[in-house]
Amino acid sequence: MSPERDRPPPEFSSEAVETAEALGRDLLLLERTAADPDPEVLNSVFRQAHSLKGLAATFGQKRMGELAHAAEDLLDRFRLGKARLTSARLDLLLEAVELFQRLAEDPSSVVDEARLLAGRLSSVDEGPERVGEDLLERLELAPETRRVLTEFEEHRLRETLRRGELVWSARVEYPLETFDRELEQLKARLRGVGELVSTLPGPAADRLDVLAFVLLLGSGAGEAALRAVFSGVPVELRPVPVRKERRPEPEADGAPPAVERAEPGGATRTLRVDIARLDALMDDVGELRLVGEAIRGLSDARELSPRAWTVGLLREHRRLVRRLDILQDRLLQARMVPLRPLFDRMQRLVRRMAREAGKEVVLETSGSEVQIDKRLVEELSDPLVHLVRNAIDHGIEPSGLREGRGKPRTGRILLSAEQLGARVVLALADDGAGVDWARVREVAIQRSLLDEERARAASDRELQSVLFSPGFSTASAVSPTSGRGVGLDVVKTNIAGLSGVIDVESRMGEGTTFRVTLPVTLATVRGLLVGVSGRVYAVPLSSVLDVLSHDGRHGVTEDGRRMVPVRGYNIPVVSLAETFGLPRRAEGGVYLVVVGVAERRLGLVVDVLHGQRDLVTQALGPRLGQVPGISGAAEVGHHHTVLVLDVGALLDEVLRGPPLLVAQA
Amino acid sequence: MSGDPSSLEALLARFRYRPDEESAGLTELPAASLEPDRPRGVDEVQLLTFGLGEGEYAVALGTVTEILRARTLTEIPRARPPLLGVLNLRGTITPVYDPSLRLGLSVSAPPCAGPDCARPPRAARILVVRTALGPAGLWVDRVRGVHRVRPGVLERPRGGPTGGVLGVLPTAEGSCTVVDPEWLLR
Repeated sequence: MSPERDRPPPEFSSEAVETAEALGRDLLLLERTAADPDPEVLNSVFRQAHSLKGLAATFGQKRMGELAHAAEDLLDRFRLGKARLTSARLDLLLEAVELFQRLAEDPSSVVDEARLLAGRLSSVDEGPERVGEDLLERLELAPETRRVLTEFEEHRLRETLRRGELVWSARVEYPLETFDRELEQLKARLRGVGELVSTLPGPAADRLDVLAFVLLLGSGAGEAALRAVFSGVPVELRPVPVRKERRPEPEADGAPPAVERAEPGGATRTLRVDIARLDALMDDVGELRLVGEAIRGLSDARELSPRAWTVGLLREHRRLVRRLDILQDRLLQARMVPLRPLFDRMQRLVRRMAREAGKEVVLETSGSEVQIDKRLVEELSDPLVHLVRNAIDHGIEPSGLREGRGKPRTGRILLSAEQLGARVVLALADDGAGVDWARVREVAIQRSLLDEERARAASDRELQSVLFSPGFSTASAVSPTSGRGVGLDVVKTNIAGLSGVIDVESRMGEGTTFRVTLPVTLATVRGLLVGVSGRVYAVPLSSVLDVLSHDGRHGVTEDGRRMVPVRGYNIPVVSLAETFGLPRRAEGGVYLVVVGVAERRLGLVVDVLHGQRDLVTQALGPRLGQVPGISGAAEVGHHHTVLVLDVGALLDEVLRGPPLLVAQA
Repeated sequence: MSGDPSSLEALLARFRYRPDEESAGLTELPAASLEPDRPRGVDEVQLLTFGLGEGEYAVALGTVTEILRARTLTEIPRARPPLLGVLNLRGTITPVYDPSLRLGLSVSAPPCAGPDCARPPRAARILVVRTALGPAGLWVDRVRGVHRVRPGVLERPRGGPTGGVLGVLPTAEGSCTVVDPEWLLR
């Protein structure tokens, strides 16, 4: 039996499939920018093909090795600009991805196909020879620098020049201990501004604890933008001069192609964790093992008196619980990532959108160091893009108009984040035209979202739910000048999916602020334990807006809904016991827990408050499926399972139909 | 080893229900101890017999992963029969059902979830069964033991509900209805 026929070991299969999948994903990213492939994505694809080759070699998978080699070779030529990336060639590579996955499962099934495809990949002929002179020759780099550049770096410099951008040389010093991190951060900050082409060792520094670097950057942005990227670190920045040519290069001064750069990465299900954090977790596990040993020791200790035995057991129990708390904390910490990459992405987005809209806009950010759960960051991206687009398209006025209104020419958007306990509040504030509430009122009536009498009586604050309703957002009659309303229902849905709360505040002519409140993590839920008819339920704290004592008095709307004024506006209230059909107990209805999802609010009448807890929630499982009003269960204390309320579903249940707004009684 | 006749007795002894005070170790059977032994005869099936009200019933032992002493369940608001409530089985939320309704019995399980219920009777057990939709519990009044039978021994059910009834096993005390646990949950 030849080794080729053997089923490959599972550790090979799983890793090969994973790598091939990542390769496929990045290839699709490349497709969107085929004309001017993002070098970072191209590099990542190339690396993946390379590691697939290495993996195949390690496990003696010859077919896959050959195919991966052919793919890597072709990708290398794309990378170095020696061959052009066309959609036909991309198809070939995607075909290879398909084969990689099949080869990983069962190499014997596709022997001939693999060989054929490897042949086709290697026979992709060289792109047309570069015509005319080499732009790189005109770049006045020192010969010693020129000599150490790799082929790839040379290619990237050529590309920079071809696009009509400048090559900058930056001399900078970083501390010995942190230089690698600093460089990574610099690279991240450079995204959208330029490209770090080469990192060369600089002339020896005066001090021993710093390293000097000469960085070659390609950028179309101005000096100020580049300096900003270095964020306060002293830098000697100068453009590398380009020798004038007698004959002007017609392509060089044309506008760079308006291709949207793909975002490398995107939503991933994997998370990089600092090894130190994993080590700490390992220590916790070691400690737990010791507790386990101690308990085993106790079980053998026959000579102990029952009292001594109980004391020993209690001591070990305390140790166990303490360590488990630490372990849980550390695991949660490991899931946390800073908001910075997300904010950086918005920065690039604002640049591009403002250019497209022909407006002058700057985005200022604060609080990008705030950390939230990795999954939240991913899912937050879409709604944030929506809000930013809204601010630029409908909020910020054209420069001329702004000047006429006595505002600075350049519109300003402030994106900020702040952690408040177990919640993070993100705010997006613009100094644009603001929402014309009178107009919102008109449209709400026109579209029968509200009846006229109610709409007239509703305060601006109460009108905000109209802004988020789907009927409103699709209303084509709302002209841009009348304010916002595009896609806000989508934002609302996204935020609600993250058990978040959204609020809008706006003044005509002064601007609009959207405020999104989110839990810091989704892995544990900080819950408020409430008692109803002797039962205990948990309300996710991220949905709790207010807890008030309640005297049971309320107003009643025409259709029988109970309303209570809370901080200036009326909200519907329900008794949780009634909603759940629980028997009435003597102690009744003394607290009002005001909950909200996205823009909607509801008051829950409960009997008792049992305080807050961190809860690890479990799904109810496929057999139970959707239980109305309940999102999951969590263990509290000793073998006590409490149900976690699904605030969104309760809101749906109580507020069925379009948002209902009632004037203050 | 498989020919040893005493091992059947040993197995039965492990599973047969006895009052708690007589066999302290028998109250909860961990999942591992229910792993069926090596098959003795090709055709043989092992049945776990249990009692509900006056009746005796059985399910295939292979579908049962665990037998728990009945405990107070967490009540699901607005739950309808046969769902009794849920319990947290080492991190998996497991719904527990009352099979008596499906079996057409007049007596049903006492309220066993929420703050108003009484302590479960000592003999009551929850059979955790493996289903296509994850684990589920069956609330039974008592567990009898394990029977190894050849399928030929099972008689066809006479009258009564037939949907999930696989057969009737004649026993020394009378008979025992063999049912499909998935059917009990529907």
